[in-house]
Parts: sequence; C-alpha cells; structure tokens
Amino acid sequence: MRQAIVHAVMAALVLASAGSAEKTSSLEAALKLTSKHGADVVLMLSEKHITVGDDGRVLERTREIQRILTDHGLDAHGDPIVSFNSELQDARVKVAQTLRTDGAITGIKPNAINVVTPDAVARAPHFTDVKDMAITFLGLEKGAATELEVEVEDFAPYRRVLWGTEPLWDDRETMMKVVSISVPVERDITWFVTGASVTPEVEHSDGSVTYRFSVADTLAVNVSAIEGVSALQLPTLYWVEKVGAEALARRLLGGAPIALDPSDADAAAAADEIVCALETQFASETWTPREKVLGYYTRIAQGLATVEVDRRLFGDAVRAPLEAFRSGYADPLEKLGILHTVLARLGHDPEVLVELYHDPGSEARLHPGNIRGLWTRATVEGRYVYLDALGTSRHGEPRADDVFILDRKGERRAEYVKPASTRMKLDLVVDLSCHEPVASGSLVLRGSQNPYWGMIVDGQPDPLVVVTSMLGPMSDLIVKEASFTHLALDETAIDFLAVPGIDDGLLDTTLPGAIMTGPVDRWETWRPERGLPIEIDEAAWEKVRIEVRLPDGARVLHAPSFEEKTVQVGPLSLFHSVGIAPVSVSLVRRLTMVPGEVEPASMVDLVDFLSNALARSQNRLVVQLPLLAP
Amino acid sequence: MRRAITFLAIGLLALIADARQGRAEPEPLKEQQIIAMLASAGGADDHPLCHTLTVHHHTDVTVEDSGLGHVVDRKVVKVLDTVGATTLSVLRFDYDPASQMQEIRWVRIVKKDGTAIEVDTDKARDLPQPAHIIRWGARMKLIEVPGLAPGDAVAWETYSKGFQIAYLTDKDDEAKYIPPMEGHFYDVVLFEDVVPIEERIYSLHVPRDKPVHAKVYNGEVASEVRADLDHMHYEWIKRRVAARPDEKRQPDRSDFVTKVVLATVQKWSEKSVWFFEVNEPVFAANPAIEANVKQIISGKKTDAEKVEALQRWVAHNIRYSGISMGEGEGYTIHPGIMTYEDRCGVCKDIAGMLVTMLRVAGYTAYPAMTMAGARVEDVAADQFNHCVVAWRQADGSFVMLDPTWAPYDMQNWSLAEGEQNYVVGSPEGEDLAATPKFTAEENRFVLNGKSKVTLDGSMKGAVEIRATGYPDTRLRRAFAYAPNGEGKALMHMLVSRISPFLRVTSYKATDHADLDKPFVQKFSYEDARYATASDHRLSFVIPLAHFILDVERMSPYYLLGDWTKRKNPAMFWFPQEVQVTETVAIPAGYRPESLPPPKNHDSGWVAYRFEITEKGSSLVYSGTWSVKSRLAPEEAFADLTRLSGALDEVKTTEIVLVSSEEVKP
Repeated sequence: MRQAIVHAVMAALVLASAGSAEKTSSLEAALKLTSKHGADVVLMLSEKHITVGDDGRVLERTREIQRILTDHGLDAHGDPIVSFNSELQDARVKVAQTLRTDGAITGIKPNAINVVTPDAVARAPHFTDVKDMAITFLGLEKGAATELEVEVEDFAPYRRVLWGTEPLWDDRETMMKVVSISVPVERDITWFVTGASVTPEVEHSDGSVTYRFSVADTLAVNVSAIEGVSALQLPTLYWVEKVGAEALARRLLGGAPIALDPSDADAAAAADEIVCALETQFASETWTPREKVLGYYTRIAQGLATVEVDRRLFGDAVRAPLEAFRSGYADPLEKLGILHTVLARLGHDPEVLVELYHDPGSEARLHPGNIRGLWTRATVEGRYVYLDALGTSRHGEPRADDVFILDRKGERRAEYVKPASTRMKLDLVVDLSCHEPVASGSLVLRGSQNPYWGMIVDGQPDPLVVVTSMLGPMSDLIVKEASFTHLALDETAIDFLAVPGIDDGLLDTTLPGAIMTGPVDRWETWRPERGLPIEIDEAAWEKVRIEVRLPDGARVLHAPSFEEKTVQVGPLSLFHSVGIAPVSVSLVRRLTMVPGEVEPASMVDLVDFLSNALARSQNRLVVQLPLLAP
Repeated sequence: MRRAITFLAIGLLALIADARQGRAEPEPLKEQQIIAMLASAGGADDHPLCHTLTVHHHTDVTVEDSGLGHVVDRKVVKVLDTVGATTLSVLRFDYDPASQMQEIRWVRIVKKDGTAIEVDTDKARDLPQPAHIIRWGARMKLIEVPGLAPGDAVAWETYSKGFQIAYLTDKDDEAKYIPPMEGHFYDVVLFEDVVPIEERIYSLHVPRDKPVHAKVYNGEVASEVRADLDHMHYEWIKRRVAARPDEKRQPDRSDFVTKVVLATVQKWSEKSVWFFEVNEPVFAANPAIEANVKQIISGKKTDAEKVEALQRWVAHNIRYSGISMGEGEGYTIHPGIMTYEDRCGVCKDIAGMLVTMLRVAGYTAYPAMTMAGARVEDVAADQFNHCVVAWRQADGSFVMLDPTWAPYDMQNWSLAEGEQNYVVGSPEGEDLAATPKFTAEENRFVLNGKSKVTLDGSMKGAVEIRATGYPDTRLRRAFAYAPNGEGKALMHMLVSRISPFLRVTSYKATDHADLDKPFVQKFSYEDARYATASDHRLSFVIPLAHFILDVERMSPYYLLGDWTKRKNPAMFWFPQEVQVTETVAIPAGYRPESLPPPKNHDSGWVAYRFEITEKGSSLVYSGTWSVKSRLAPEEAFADLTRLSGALDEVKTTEIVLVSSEEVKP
C-alpha cells in the first residue's frame, strides 16, 4: 500500500507547480498518513538531487513532503533550515506550503523566510558568509501535511574537490528517501554507505553519470539517542570525486600552509611574530624544547576560539597564519597552519600525517568524512611528537591501516609504522532480555573497534563505563560476560594529544604521554614522570567479569528487514529507541590481574558494597577500577 | 522551557543628542585619559577568576521632545588573561534596523605599554543576528579586535538612536526612530555585570518639561541632578563594583543587581491607555474565525466553560514561532486574522488571537503586558517581556488568561505565574497589578506506593504518580514535547531511582492530552535482590523513600547544588509540595529492629515531615515536604540546605527487619 502511495506521489510531484499554494495530490495523500510506530512525523518523500555542471557549479534541489503528528514534530520540523554560503550560492524556496486537515492550504510569504547567522560563526566575522535560511511553514498545526522544495545553486565553481555526506537515516518515519548525484563523466565519483546495504541505480547520458540511491520504509531514529555518535555509525551515504588519497588530502588541506617556505621572507616574519607572542605570553624559561612545543600547541588549541565551520559550504580559503592567530579565533584548518608555522619556526620540521579509514590501495571507502585523523608530526629532541591540530583524531593515536605522511609539497612521502603493542580488544557476550520483547538472542562483539577506544579517550576511561556507554541506548540488556584489554603505548613513548578546542575538558585531562586508561579523577596521576612507558604483556590482559543491567524505561526495536533478525547494538543501530536511564554496573569477580598492578585492597569490599542495599539505594553505582599502579 | 519567554519588547530606549543639531555630546575620551584609567585600575591579581575588567563605562543619553533618544556609549575594558583576550577579540553590537541606527564610531586597542592602535571600523561586518524561535530581522555589527594579550585594553564608542525592537513606519528616516509612545522615554540601567566594573556612569539629558521619575533598586548609586534653560541633566555613578556572575535558574538579573529605573511617564494608567490604543485595531475577526469560535463553544454552557474552550484551542493550535509582520513588530500584536491564517506567533500574537476570539464570543477582553520571571518596579518604565489576556468581568474586575503558557495545563492561568506584575491595556487606563501568590498545596506531586518484601530479599511493588497545578503540567509536557516515547522513558528512569535493578512489570497512564481528567501513571515493578537478606534479617530502604522526582525541572530545590555556595536568588517558578506514602508488607514473623524517629521542620521557606510507622505486618512510610515560595532569596538558602539534607538522610535510611527467632535468647 505504502509503495503504491509513494509511486503516486512521485508521479504527482512531477506535475506539482512551484510558487503559490496549490493543493497537490501528493499533499492530499500525505494528509492521510499515520505512523505505525508512534513517530512524531511521517516523511512521505524526501528527494535530494545534486547536479554538478560541466564547469563545476553545483545545484542542489531538495523536496520533502511530510505529515506532522505531534507537538514535538511541530517543534522539530515546523521551521526547516537550509544552510548556504551567501557569497557563493543562491538559495531559493520554490515551494513551501501547508495543507491542514480542514482542507485549508497556506503558501509561503516573504516574512516566513528568514536568513540568520548560525550560532557557530556568530563571533567569527571571517566565516559569516555561511548562513542559515529558516523557512516557517504557515498555517501549520498538528496533523497537517507540508511540502517544501528548495534550490541552492553555486554562483561560480569554488570546490577543490566534489564530495558530500547524505544521511539515509531520519528522525522521521520515512517512506521513501532518494538521493541522486549527477556529475560529468570526467569528474566521476566513488561512494560508500555505512549502516545499510544500499546500491544505486546508475545511468549514463550525455557525458554525465547519475547515481540514484534510495531507501524505503525506515523507522524514525530517536535523535536524543544518537547525540555524539559518529555519523559513520549511522546509515549514511558518502560520496567523493575519484581523485585518490593523496590528492584528496592535499585538496582538503586547501591553502593551509603546512610548512614554512624558507624563501618567503614575509612568512618568516609572520612566524616570528607568532612565536614572539607565544614566548612573551606563555613560555617559561625553564621549559624544555618538548615542553615548549606542547605548551604552544595547547595555547593554539585552546587559547584560540575554535570555529566549527562547514568547509564544504564555506570553501577552502584560509587566512594567513598570522591573521588567524591575531584574530583570536580559527577553524581547525587554520589552526593547522598556525601550528605548522610555529613548529617550523622553532626548527621541529613539521609534517602532516594523514590517517584514512579505507583499506590501503582501495578507493572504496575514501572520503573526507572518512579521514580519521590529520596529524602533525614534529621532531623534538630526536623523537617524534604527534599533535592533533585539526581536532579530528578524537580516538587517540593513528591506528587505521592507511596512514601516510605528506611532505611540505603535499606529496606522499612515507608510511607510518604503528607501535606494535598499542591495541585494545573487547569481547562481550550480551544477552538481550527486554521487557517489551521485540527481539532476543545473543550477540558477540569482537575486535579492536574504534568507537570503544574513542569513548575511552573521550573522557570515559573506565572500561566498564565504556561498556555501559556502548550499550546505553539498549535498555534492558544484560551483559553476561565481558573481557577487556588495556591500552598501552610501546617503548617509543609517542606523545599523542588530541582535540584542540573542540572538547576543552579533554585536553585538560589528556596530559603529555598519558596512558589513556584509568578513572577520570586519576588522570592527574598518569604523568610521564610517574614512569612511562608501562609495559603490558598481551597475554595478561586484564579480564573482568561484569554484569551490566540497565534499568527499565526504553525499548529495543529491530528492523523487520534485517536478515537473520540480527539486532544491532546501541549507536550502531538505526532502529532503536532509547531510554535515558542511567546505567549501573556491578563487579562480580575479577579473573586475572595485570602484571605490575597492585591488588586493589578494596575489591572485596567493593563486591560487598555493591550487594548492599544501602549502596544500591544510591542508584548510581559506577565502578571505577584502580587499573594500573604508577 | 518549551515555550520561550517572549520579549514583548516595548523596547529599550536609548538616545543621545546629535552634535550637529546643537546638542552637546560628552567630551571626547582622550588617549591619555584611557591610559590613566588603566594605570589606576586593578589587574588580574586584584580580580581572581575574572577574565576582563570594565575600567570605564559611560552611557550618555539625550532625549528630544519627540522622545527620540540619542545614545553615546563608551567603554574601556581591560584584558586580564588569555580567555579575556579571546572574549574581546570580536566585539558585537546588536540593533534592529527597522527602528534603530547603530554606528561604531571608533575602536582602539591600548597595549600594555601604552601604545594605542586604531581598529578600522570600516571592516565591521553588518549581519543578521542568530535567531531560533523569534525571527524578526534583528541585526548585529561584528568587528575584530586583533592581537590582544593580557594587560592590553580595548576602548570603543558607539552612537545609536531609536529602539532596539521593531517599530517600522513609512515615515521619513528620522521619524522612524521616534518611540511608539511618542514624547516619552524610559530606561532600566543595570549597575552590576558578570565582570567587575571600576566605573559605571549613566548620564541623561531631557527637555525641562519632561521630568524623569527615577528610583534606585537593589543597592546604592550616587546621583546628581542639575538644570539649565532647556534641559534637566541627571547623572548616576557607581564605582568599584564586584563581578556578579550568573547562576543557574536565577530570576532576571534586574531582580537582584543594582539598577536605576527611570521614565518620563508618570503613571501606569497612561501606559495602559497607550497599549490599548496602539493594539485595538488588530482584534477584528473574519467569517472563518467566527465560524470556528461558534464551533469551539458549541455545547459549552457557562462563560467559564466557553472561555476555557477558546483558550485551549488557541494554546494548542497557535504554535510558538515568531515571524515579523513588519510595521509595528515587537510591541504591537499581529492582527487576529493574520495569526489565524499563519497559525503561529509569539506570546503577544497568541494572546491577540485569544482576545480576538473572546470578542467574537461576546466577551470583553484586552491584551496585558506582564513580566515573567522578574519584578516590575513601581516606576512606569516598560519592564515587560510577556503578553497575556485580561477578560473583563461584569463588576469591572479582570480574570487573567495566558494562552502561551496554557498548553497541557489544566489551569487557565498558569500556577507558575504567581505574584507576577501586569498592566492591562484598557480604554480607561489600569494601574500596575499582580497575580495572586499560589501556595505549595496548589502545586502538589503525589506518589502512592504499595510494596511487599519477601524473605529472599525480593521486592515487588506498585507506584502511582499524579499531580496538581503546575507539577501536573510539567508531567504532561514531558510527554507532549519529547520525541514520541521519551516521556514514558523518562518516567521509567525516575521510577528506576528505587533501584538500578528494578524491573518494571507493567505501566499504565491516562491520556496526557486530556485536560479534563487527572494525568495518572501507574507502575508495577519487582527487584529480586532489593533487600539484603541474611539469616533472620532483612535490610532495605523503603522504595519510595528514594528521590523519585530526580529531574531539575521538577525538583530544582534539591538538584540545583550546594545552597551554601550560591550567591544569587533562585527562581523555582512555583511553590510546591510533595506527598509520598507507601505501605510495605513485611514477612510474617519479622519486625523492624528499630524505626527512625519522625523528622519535622517548618519555617517560612520550607516544611517537611517524614515518618515510618509499623502497622500490623506492614510498614507505613509517609513523607511530605514543601517549598513555600516560587523565589528563593539568600535568606532561604539555609532552610533549603536543611531540606536537602533531610531528603538525603531519608533516602539512605535502612530498615532492618529481624525475625522473632533471632531475638530469642
């Protein structure tokens, strides 16, 4: 039935006229929709057509037809927002109309289209060409259907490389979502989709190739459940021009100076001014060269306000390092330029280390959104220091398979050799037991998965907390058994620092040379002077047996279309809804110890503590294991 | 809060004289003066934890006969640390192009060594302001102040005239800045900031025939008045003012920082008549509205029923989303016909829709200005941020209605709007009035439980949650405005406060959208390991002794943090009472080893009583506590600390049951 409606709508859309309000058959069809799963909004159709012209200009045409069923739906989708670059693009509302259940249809008025400055750039004049256009649906009330058609078109080509990221998930129950990308054959694209199995229809015609992706009948994703979850974990289409890894990295770096040109006197003078300012304001006479590098890095990372601007909209142009430094704010790309300028001026020979998620030699998963890290490698006192200037590498040291180094000309120069003993392993056996059982079974997760380490580094350093974080969206799970390994760095004692400005709290706790384990309140104890490196024998991974019990209050939904009725876990699942209940963990017993670890005398007490009703009455039993001795 | 407070914005007037029109401006601020100020001002050591220091802030205002104000604003701010440097690296000046002009005259950096650097004001960017729910076309000017370091200072001067909030007209350029209440001027000037201030000066020059009525509140400000042939000259000065940082859930800053409120309007009734007259044309209806009103009140018998039906329709069908209608936006109400077609607006438009519909139904109704979340002082200066409806009764009195706050509220006037000042806009002119003080008993959470503990330590129980007054609204909105299903998830989470191992076995709730019936939720639960069981002994906490209402929106008095460290008053919006009762069936042959003595306390700010008694083979827990005021000033903090402590103690009090066998010798 739904498919039939969609097809009827598709046909009707072709005939729909833009401009004034018109009661189209598609709107009337939308007015009859209900949600099978209690969604706030049913999205009957979402179409996005991206057309790249021969000259490189891009036209994006978006059309959506929805029915809003709840107050939350009105709040979330009654005033859609389109972001664009007011200097480089034209944004046009072709259709914005509402059909109410009483039959009244209301079109758009000029005062219902408002261009505002996004909060993210409201204190960063250089980036304020990026704007948000808010479209207020008039005549809207619960139960009404709306239709929106918007075009955003480049005035002139400005993209160094064509790429995009299109979510195939939605917080609305979606009947049909279509994304089509049409490019000239000489600028053909590669693509991949995460979290879903989607294959495009491909059509060649008149020197262009068109990829048409579609998904149908997807449930609403609860946005409150996926906050902070990497888009890589949700069903998302990534597409990018076929240019190769090095070229992609080069183009993404844009004009950011990644090293000082010795012959450029102006650049050298600018570098002198930045270094002089840093030395005057921050440096201590007792600082070693290594401390100076880390101190300046911290100043650039945190002392300059970080602007999160969508470079795909804003373009790749960067300010000169001195200009950006003096302004007091910069986006990560500009911070990269400032950092390299300083390091080069101090004689530390900075280089860019690029880490990609994709397999070596394969273009299959090459995408800007798939760049896991852009690191700065500097040589300090004969050793490498790795600095995350872009703040993209939130998960600790580089560890993807394809990591390479660009020299100052942007050429691939060398491969990166991973420290041998840096690893993490997570084995979980999970039993599902739901109060509203829509799925049950068992699940085993294995392997060195990025998100888990990421969560540790992101301020959840307790493995048990990581487990609960991972499972958080899945209420009513009982983890029967789990084992963990520790993280460790090998004898090279590489310094990894992360996230300038994006997460201020993180840098505070990620100290130079810190081993990224241990409870948050113990970060301070893991300083290099306390004895790095700590060797950990892989064979003696710590193992703990834990039982995780998440309180009632949420549901686990699974998609009927999933083969073998596999339930995806936590943030990996499109089809879940969550409880925001806190989690609790109790330690049943500890199996083995890590060499060098001091037997925590409190362990037995801890077990008693957890089984004590008084303790349980305090509700939040987060176990913090004293993992390693200093 | 989903319904954001609307800034009705009768606008902050600010003005100044134009030197080219013969008006004297204050003497230019010389570089040496700035350097001298900086030399005598303190540094980072004198202001620990502060990032910047306002060394000098002078606002000079000259008012014309028309009420048009000219404002020269000068500020000298010292950078105390790197955070301060970042903060001041971009200056932002907001204005509304529809009714206000804004000019950045000069910006100057004064380096630590005294070197002055002019910032090119031509590089300022004129941009739309960020906006979310209210999109009225407000703009801002951004200017970069590059290269700042600790010890440096930034000084600037701006000139503006007009209102900060819209007043569009087809008049010539100058006339569009004249205030809507022509010939009058008002201002509310705060003399404390989130950063320390060395010197704050506010100068005002008004025509001699416009005497200013002014008062100082919440502290002391030095003042001076003098006159010449044409003008009255007022000046208020305060020096060496400590920083007053914001704190969570505080009332509007104007409620507790030192301020001067001033106005040329002498009586509220003048403001009332003006507000009536300026808005009266907008309440016309059309046949569609008339037909809808007829349908809405069909079958309703009494006036109260009809008015309530109309208010609920407006509350649930005119969504909160502000778009500008152009002329008059900000202080005049959108025409009822426009709002009916748009189905959206801010508080004034939603109120206007109800006035329109009430009038169609034959009632006399007017819009009223009010201030949600802060006092309105008795000087007749506009101090309003919200708009409501006054329904006139046969005896001339008013019944107040607030459709903006009415969604999912059983009341026609929200019980979160007690002790709130308002001025009705009527043809006769009304004085400043206030809504009544609501009591804790009117805003009550009620939790009833029945449970049973068994020898193996398991606990099975049932909880019923209901509420009256604003707590009832809070519970309903948790369902209405969260993603579908999240309301239930929230309630599950709260019940899970009983035990992290609690397992909900059933849940039922009435319809949260049915405002004619109480919203009642019922849970059944079990926990196989709730009590600690050992030979002849069972120990546990009474399930509902745990703090179930563990969300700040429901229990700010408990969850805001340490009251002993707080400086600013706290705004709870409504006084409240919580009543908890639970009967716990205990195993036969077991009795409590001892029971805690009852806890009682009653003061001007809080009251509580907790008691556990033995009744046959059951324990009966009874806990009642109340916070008696919607606003907690500093003198209430000790009592709130005491209440928090009592709640903490109750929720950790273990009951130990002992079998009769053990007590045998």
